[in-house]
Amino acid sequence: MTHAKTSTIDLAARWLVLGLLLVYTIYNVGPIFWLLLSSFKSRMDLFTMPPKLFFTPDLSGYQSVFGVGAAKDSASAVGVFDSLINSIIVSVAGTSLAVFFGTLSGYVCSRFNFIGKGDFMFFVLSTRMLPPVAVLVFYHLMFARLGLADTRFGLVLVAIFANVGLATWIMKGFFDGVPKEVEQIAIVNGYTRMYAFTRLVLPMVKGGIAATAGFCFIFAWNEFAFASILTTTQAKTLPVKISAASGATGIEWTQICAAGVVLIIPVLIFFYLIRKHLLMGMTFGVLGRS
Amino acid sequence: MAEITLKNLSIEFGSFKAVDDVSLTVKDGEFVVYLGPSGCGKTTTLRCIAGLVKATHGEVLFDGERVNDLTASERNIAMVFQFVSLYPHLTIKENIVFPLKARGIAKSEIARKLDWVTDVFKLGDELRRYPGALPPGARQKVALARAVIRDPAVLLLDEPLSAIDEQFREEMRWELGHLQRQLGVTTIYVTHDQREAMSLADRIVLMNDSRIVQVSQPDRMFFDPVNVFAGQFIGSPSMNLIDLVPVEGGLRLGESEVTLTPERDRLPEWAMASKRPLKLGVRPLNVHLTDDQATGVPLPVDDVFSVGRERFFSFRIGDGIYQGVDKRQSPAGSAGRVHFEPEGLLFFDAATGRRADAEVAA
Repeated sequence: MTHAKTSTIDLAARWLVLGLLLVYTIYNVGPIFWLLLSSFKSRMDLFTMPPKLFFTPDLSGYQSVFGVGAAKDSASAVGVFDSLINSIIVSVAGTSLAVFFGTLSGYVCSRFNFIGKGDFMFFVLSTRMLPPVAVLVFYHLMFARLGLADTRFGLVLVAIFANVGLATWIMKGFFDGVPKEVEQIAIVNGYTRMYAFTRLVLPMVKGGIAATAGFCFIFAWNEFAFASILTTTQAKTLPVKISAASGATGIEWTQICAAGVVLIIPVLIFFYLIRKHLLMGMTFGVLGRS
Repeated sequence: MAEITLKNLSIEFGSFKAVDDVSLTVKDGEFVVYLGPSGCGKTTTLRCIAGLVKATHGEVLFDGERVNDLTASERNIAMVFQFVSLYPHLTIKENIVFPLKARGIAKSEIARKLDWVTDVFKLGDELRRYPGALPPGARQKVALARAVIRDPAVLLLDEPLSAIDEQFREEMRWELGHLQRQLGVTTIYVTHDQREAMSLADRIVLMNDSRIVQVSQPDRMFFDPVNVFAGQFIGSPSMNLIDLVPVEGGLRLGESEVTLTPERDRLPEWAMASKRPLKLGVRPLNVHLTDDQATGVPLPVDDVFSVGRERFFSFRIGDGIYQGVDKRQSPAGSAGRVHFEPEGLLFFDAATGRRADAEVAA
């Protein structure tokens, strides 16, 4: 009796959980699915009520995003291809450099004591507490003076500034998880500290580097506030471009949706590439101690 | 291999004295175990010998030569740490030959040495695997192999077994002692586990509060502790420590009515004569239950219980509970008298904690 009762409750609980997961999935995937559908719709289909699930695909959105085909010279084309390239350059360069510097400083903060270390760590953390809006104007003035306004280089700098603190903290955590004996054994045996760092410690925190890169990349890729203020024509990134995608004939929803899909794809590719390291990385090395 | 000498070694971190005026000579090929509670300075001493920590005062000598200013890599030492520090991305073989690679040793020589340690540590099947695939005990064996492959002057082991499962630890301990004798390498081993120290050491160096308490062979350490700390730190279950109050005709046990007498308990004459408060140190294995009025004293027995094949009982003096070993298999709850074996009685000065009888003997 008891057994049957328990299993009924178990079953109910399982269905409830499944139901909640289903709702959650729809909530998350729904908008993306809608975006994907809309990116293939013509202007006519886009505004049909109720929305159509089946329609004749229209590739004009993608054509204008990549500047090919019939849409190439059309007056309504917004031409976001350049900003896609901008986004990729800024994100990849910004992420790489932030992770590079963050790894070095994270190692120093994990292994060495220096005067004002606590204050330094707090300062580094505080760079992430600042709402971007608070300093935007001053960045703008500074960048204008330095000739960095509307340049990819300027945006790369912003991406580094914004991420290096986060990268330092995350990497410090991973280095803390590597026993200091790893270097001591090497030093006792006549290797240099540099050798120990590059050849022994770094391979041990691969997962951490991947996870850090993931966080930094998402931030750099999605960054909107700085990019929208600091760019005018040349260095506009994809999120900025999409937000202002209006052509000669009004807001080009199909193109916006196509560009949105294009915006998602590099993130998917990036996380696909680092997926192997991610499980260990996201658990902050808790599972990985050997 | 080398003889290691510490001369008045002190190590300070700011105002904290981690090691305070320690002198010791470890003979060539000797197995010395530093034993003591956490924070007593034993690991710091070891790291100073390794060259990972600088001496504040005093000298470290290898074969009579001062090495204070040599770096860790110039001292030709090998270390094994508590947490297995193999490199997870290198194979077992690459891990083992790691110390040789740094010195540009010829490939044929490396291969010869590798064969040798593989043979000694019986690691033939594991060489191509990665550390992650080995159980912790086996990993520590690899760490040992890595340590000895370059014929170090001294092998420094910092609690190498304490992170290993109990079951495997026994086996590793035995193997470690065997290997050390086989290799004949001067070995300094740090542990807080007195059983490890007792079973491995040629000599034990007992430390407490940054100073050396006693240096002696394991059995001497057990039977002849220099003070209360040494007596209680060594041995399990730990030594009973009972107040002795000088009274007419004997020494009274703490707050009880029971008095040990010179005749029955063979109290030494000086103890009777000194007339000062003492502490009686007596190990549970020297305290028994008896019905004999002539040798036993009446003390309330609380409990008789078995731990495996051994049978213990607890008795009470005032508020204190003490332990003895019951050799006659009394049923639980049985009353009886408590017999203190005269040859197991150690006397400590109540004020200083130092051995009182040794002081008199000296």
